[in-house]
Amino acid sequence: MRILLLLALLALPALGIERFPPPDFSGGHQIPETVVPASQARTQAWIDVAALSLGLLLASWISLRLRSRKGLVILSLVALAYFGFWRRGCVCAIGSVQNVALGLADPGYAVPLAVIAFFSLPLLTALIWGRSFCAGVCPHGAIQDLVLVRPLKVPHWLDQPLRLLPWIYLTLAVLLAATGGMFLICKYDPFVGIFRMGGPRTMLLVGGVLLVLSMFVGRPYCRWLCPYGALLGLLSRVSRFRPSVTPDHCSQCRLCENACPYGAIHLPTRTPTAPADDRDARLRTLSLLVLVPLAAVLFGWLGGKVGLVSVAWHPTGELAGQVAMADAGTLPEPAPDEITAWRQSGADRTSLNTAVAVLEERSLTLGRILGAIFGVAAALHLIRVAFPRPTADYETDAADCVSCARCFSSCPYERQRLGLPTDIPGGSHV
Amino acid sequence: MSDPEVRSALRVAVHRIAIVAGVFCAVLAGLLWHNGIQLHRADESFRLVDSEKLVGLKQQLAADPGDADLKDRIRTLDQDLRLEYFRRQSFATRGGFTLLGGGLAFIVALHLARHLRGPRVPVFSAKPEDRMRSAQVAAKAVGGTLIVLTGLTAAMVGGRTRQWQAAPAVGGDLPEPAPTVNEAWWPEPEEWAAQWPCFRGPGGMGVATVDKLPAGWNGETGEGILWKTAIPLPGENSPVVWEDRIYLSGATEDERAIYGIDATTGRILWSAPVSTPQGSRFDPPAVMEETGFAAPTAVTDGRRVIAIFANGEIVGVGTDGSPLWARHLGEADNLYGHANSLAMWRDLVIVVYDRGGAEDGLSRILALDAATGETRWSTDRPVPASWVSPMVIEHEGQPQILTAANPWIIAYDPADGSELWKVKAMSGDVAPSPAYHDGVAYFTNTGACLIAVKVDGRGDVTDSHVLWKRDEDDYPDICSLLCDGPRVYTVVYGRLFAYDAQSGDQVWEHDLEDDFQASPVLVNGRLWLLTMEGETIIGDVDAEGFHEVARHPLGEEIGATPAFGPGRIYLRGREHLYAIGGDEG
Repeated sequence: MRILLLLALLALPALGIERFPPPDFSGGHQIPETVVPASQARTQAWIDVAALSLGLLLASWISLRLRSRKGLVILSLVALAYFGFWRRGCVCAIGSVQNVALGLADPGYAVPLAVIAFFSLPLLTALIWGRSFCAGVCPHGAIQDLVLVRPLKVPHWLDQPLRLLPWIYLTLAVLLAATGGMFLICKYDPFVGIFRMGGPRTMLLVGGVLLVLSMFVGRPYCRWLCPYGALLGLLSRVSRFRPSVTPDHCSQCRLCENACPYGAIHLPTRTPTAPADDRDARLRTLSLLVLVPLAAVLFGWLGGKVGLVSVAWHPTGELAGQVAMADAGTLPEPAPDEITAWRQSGADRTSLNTAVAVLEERSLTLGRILGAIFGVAAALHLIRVAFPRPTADYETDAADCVSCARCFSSCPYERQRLGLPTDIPGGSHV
Repeated sequence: MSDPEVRSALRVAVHRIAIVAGVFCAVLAGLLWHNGIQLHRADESFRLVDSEKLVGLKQQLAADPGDADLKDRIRTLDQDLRLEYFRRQSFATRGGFTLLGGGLAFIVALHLARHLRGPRVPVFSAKPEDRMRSAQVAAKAVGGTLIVLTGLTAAMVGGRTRQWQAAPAVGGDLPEPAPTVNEAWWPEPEEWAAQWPCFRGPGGMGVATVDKLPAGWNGETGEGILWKTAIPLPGENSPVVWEDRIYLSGATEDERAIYGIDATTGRILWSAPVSTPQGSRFDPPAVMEETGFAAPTAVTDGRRVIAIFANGEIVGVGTDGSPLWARHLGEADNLYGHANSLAMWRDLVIVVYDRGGAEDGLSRILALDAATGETRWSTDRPVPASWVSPMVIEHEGQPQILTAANPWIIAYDPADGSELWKVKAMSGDVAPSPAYHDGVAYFTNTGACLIAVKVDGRGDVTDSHVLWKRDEDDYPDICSLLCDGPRVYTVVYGRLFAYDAQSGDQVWEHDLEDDFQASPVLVNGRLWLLTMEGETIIGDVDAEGFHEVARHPLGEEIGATPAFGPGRIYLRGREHLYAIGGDEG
């Protein structure tokens, strides 16, 4: 069955349709002039923003007040239908990171207000109510969540290193976007091809593989790839309100232990009566003082190197490389259109070299800054993993919990709150 | 739904639905996959206008335009191909939606089956997982990942060259360049001596021995000129020569480049544009027009070429023009423009980078690794900006770098940059490069003095090792000194002076009535002087005076000192590089 399903999803590339050349008319027929469709009405963008705002409020309300898994599933389905299949995955909060990065780096690029809203509203929500966006509004999260039928537990030692990947992805995406290179997140978005029922074969293939993986592993893209999720996790760490497994008291019944498919429930580090270990706190402080600046310097240096190399992925750097190869006679024929267009433009090599030099400088500086930020994030992640916050109860992880409400129904106190039959160890505390 | 039997029956039914939906999806996916391949082929290999069969028919029609049957066949085939394309496209669209529906049914059925099965009874281990232990293992995994990630990234980006700086080569059959060396390596002394690797030739002495000197030349008529090549960017620097290759640089306010030229044909084999992020950060330096942006002469060891420019950029390239390294030594602060040529000792590039005033503390002398550009040593110099090119000599086994600036003449150990000796003697804006012969170094500057210093001292030897010093005459402001053993020569405002090398007494004076900027050169025992008008004055020198032998016009202004190769003279005019050769004269 799994193999058949895998085959079915692998076939998604077949949906990619390409245009064919115009016909060779011999009867004097003139091909009609291409008509550029009118730009999208602004009202549509604001409808999207309104839908996003409403979705965020509803998701927060359902997960924190109603504590309803069913409510979130329904909201997810609506979000998947609207933001995913109807709006075809664009505009999305994940990709908006790049627009904002380019807008900050390039004063000549105006970020549309709707895109700013898509970037900031989920972050603002995360600051107050945790990752409500992931819970019920993000179509990427929804499609993975809905196909999860047999969740397998990913070991902590594997889960935590993989959680570095979103930061790497974010660093590269911001670097390339801010230098005007490319919108990496959009180019390699795994689910947009599915939402649009077509796209590059690689995109469809990766999307299909991720969907199959999502049947057994909870939200692999959200946990180990999503660059926006890295930012949401950072802000939700200090959120004012966040979901808790139990509505009032943890009875240590362990029933919620296996409820979370995302590895976002912390087991207690000590018994409720045991005193906190000061040694860990001291080590944690020492690590913060030593490791964070060290990582910032190391990855800042490395980021600069990556920044310089990334120039080759930039259209200007790529063109300069092709020009150099063409001049050296090592570029395969026929010459790419970019070379032909550049030559016909009459631009000289000096101006191209100057443009590349400016690009190099920007990429070097930005690479160092972003590398240092990644270093700090990685060091903090390492310290957080090595010295978990002492807890006496089963708790949700402030950063990793996507507010999906799955764990609630496993808690006896939650079941008691809902009037469902339950057996509370040690009797009711209500 | 509470009846277990009903639930069980429903569960079986839903399971079967899931299986059917899964099989349906798999089959449909297979068909779509096949269709996608066909569509891809239709779009690529069997594209309509380029269809092999269609093109063949069209070619037949071109040969026989009146064949109506052939026209019909072409139309039919064209229509068939189009219909086939659209049929497959339509199938892909409808199949995609059907697959989505089938997938949805599959997932819903699986969820429903799970719901009907009821909640699983949680299975707990006897003892809760030790979170602290788990955290320690995870922390090691995170740390290890970071280390591996750092190593892999460093390995991946460390060896990457930036191909957009690669030098364009001119097409055609090119002679094989000498292989570029990326490691510690330097030529043997006799190899250095056989080439013209730096400003004023081997050791910076300004002495050349050339076989088959031409009888004469005239740039305007082409007589004696082997070839003449326009240099794209201007520069006051002299060519350097290594076997069959000539290297020189050129620059304007906005562009900088190093050129590799075929000594046989004069063809520019490659042009390596120079640009560094740091260099582009600063505004172009203010320079005198006579100095320009590429006054310093480059150096080569036959495997690498290194050039420095007025904006502080210094670049190493291979003999094929491929970039090796590029650096920026800091913003230039120089009244007339940076002009100190480079020198080499072993695999070190010697850079005198004097800037600003003495009180600014900006001046320094550096030794850079020729292969990597890394600084091997750097020594601060207590002097303001100067324009003197360093000279590397060897006395009693001790190599020395001779430099001069206001007020210090300083000799450095090229091995570590330490000061060997120094003399306080200079003043003003010091520009003429020194001369050396048999343990004595000669320095001069206009408005200062002409001084001979024995090079075997240590420390401040102002009072102990000055062989002689004159300060009553006019002395050069640009042209370098030249020593042929018995005499030291200076060129000052159109006049040639000879001084006794041992006593410092003026031997004679000769009025040439010309302006000079290029340094004098001793070629096969004869003195060559290049006027700014482009005329080369050749004459014999002895104790009696200068005996002019010949004058050869170039027809183009000259500011650069000539370079020499086997049987060749290379003169750089304001716009062209000339190769002169021929019968011995």
